[in-house]
Amino acid sequence: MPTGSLRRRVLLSLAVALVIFFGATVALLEWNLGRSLGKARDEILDAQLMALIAAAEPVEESLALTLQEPPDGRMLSPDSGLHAEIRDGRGEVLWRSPSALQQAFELPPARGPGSRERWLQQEPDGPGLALASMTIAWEFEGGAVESFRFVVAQSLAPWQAQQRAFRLGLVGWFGALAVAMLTVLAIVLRGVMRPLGQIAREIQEMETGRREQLSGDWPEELRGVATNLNALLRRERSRQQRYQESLANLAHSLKTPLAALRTMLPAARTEAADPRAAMGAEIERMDRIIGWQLRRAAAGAGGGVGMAPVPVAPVAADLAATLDKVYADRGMACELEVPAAIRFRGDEGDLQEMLGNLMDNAWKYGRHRVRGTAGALPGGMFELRIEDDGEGLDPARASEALARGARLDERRPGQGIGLAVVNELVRAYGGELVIGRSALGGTAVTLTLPAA
Amino acid sequence: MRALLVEDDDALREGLATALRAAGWQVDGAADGREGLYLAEETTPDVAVVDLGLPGLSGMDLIAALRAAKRDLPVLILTARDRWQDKVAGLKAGADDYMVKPFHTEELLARLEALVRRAAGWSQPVLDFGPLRFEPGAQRVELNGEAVELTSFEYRLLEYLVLRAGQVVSRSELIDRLYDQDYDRDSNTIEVFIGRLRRKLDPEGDLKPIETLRGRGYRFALDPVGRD
Repeated sequence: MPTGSLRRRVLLSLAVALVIFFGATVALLEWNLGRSLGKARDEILDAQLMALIAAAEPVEESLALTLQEPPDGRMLSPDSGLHAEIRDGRGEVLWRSPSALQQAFELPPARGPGSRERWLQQEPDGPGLALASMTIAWEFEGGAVESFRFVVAQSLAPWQAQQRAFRLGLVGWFGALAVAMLTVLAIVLRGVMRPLGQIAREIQEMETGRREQLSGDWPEELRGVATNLNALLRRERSRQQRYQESLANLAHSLKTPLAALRTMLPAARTEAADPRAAMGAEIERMDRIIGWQLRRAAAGAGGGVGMAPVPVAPVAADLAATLDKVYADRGMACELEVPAAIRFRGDEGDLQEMLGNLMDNAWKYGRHRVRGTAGALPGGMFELRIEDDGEGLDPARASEALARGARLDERRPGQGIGLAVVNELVRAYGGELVIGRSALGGTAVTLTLPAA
Repeated sequence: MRALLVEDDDALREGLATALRAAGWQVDGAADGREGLYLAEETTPDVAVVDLGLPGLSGMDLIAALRAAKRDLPVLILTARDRWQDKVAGLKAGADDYMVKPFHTEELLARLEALVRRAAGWSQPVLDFGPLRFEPGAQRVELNGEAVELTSFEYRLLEYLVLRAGQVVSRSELIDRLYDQDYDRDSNTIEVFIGRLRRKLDPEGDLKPIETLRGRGYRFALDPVGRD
């Protein structure tokens, strides 16, 4: 059974075990009870036999026995279930209790004086009979000795009723006990299984980025799982980081020689026929390829498991301070309205990259004003909008700007690549980038990103 | 103008130094952070170009050390890493601008001009003195709307005076900023260049942009329009 609930499996197994165990117990008890009931019945039959023998009176003239009064009053009434009979040595019935008028006893053959028999007799339409007989030698006053057989029979009905009642009580009690045990176990299991539910919840939280690793306090049996899972996550994260770092190092180490190459081309802006211009163009291409692949690699890593939530406001404020410094001459006025509660589910570097590129564009293309706003959206997302008061990007050409490496404005290069990078990152996070017009007059770029 | 160049890649440092010297800068080069910090204290440069990935003292630490020592010279960082994370960290550490490798030398020169201009207290890219206008980023000088042709050395001399408009600049300060260290300080070349500048900027002789204060130095005497 590879699937299904552990709880259900435990309860089902226990229910089966209980049925087998209780069934065996009931059978054993009943067998025991049957034995002791049989013994009691035999004793009663023996006592009845003795009483019958004691009550028998000899008829001297015919050398027979008779009975004036049965030893037990029940032998008078037909439905009492207690019967008696006296037979002579040849098997002829000498006396028969009134209750046994309708009965015919099947006797085993007599075996002479002193012998006793006990047997059961089936009835076609009744509960059956338990019988006992005893053959004795009776000495008459005249000295004659005759053997007589005394037979007592009792209906099995009261015994069977007793056994049935016993069985019913037993099964009832055990049934109730089993149900009670299963109920208690179900409740206990719910408590025992709670940490499993908790671990599943925490793993889900890690998937959605609300948690970086499993918390510490687990029952002994789960502690190993939690510790190993945390270690695995850490190893995976550091492996991913190492991989990214070595890739970045490789790419970045190429950039210094490229920069050196470029300084050796002092007149890169000369006419196209100049081989130095062609070299400059190739250097630029190499730089673009490196930059693009680096960013793509970084974007691909986005949205991994176990990212800590990143508050958006400080990142935006840092970028605004940086851009204010870099574009000090432009004297842009920047308003940021990013609520402190807005947190990004993902890598801080990726958020910086997206916001940085958008804000850089706004500082480059805006005239005097830049506005950054954010707000929560339903469905675990938030909206981030960067606006400027520049000429504005034609929305019809916006998709072109999003295409790889397209540059709409050669005067101030970079917007195309910047937007394409942002678009790539946003998509990696399952978000959306929309280019529109701002109320300020320029471009408004709106990002939809996963919130934490 | 004196620039400090801290870059551990010899080819890049030499290439940049050549380009800067060609544009009239005095350049001190350092191959690691400690040497860079030492030179920043010794030569009091007007601007520093610092590579972030330096052996010994990292570029970030170098900038932090400069700022801790209350040295407020403008610093431009060179970085191979063009993630915003690195740019933000660099500027938070105290840098004023950044350039991502590989860059265009011309753009680096323009950025350095702008940093020096801003450090001198000019927030606008164009320094407007009415008939005379300077655009340090483009190394352009206009007289009544016409471009004035200046040699690289003449431009450097004028720029140094213009950025300190209204202040007296001594002859030895000019020599220190404009010539290599082994220059013969007794020669009268500065006077020769001041004379040439006066002829080019004030052919009619009625503007008198550069004053000579005998025994003290020179002063750019025009009043800026709209300086904030």
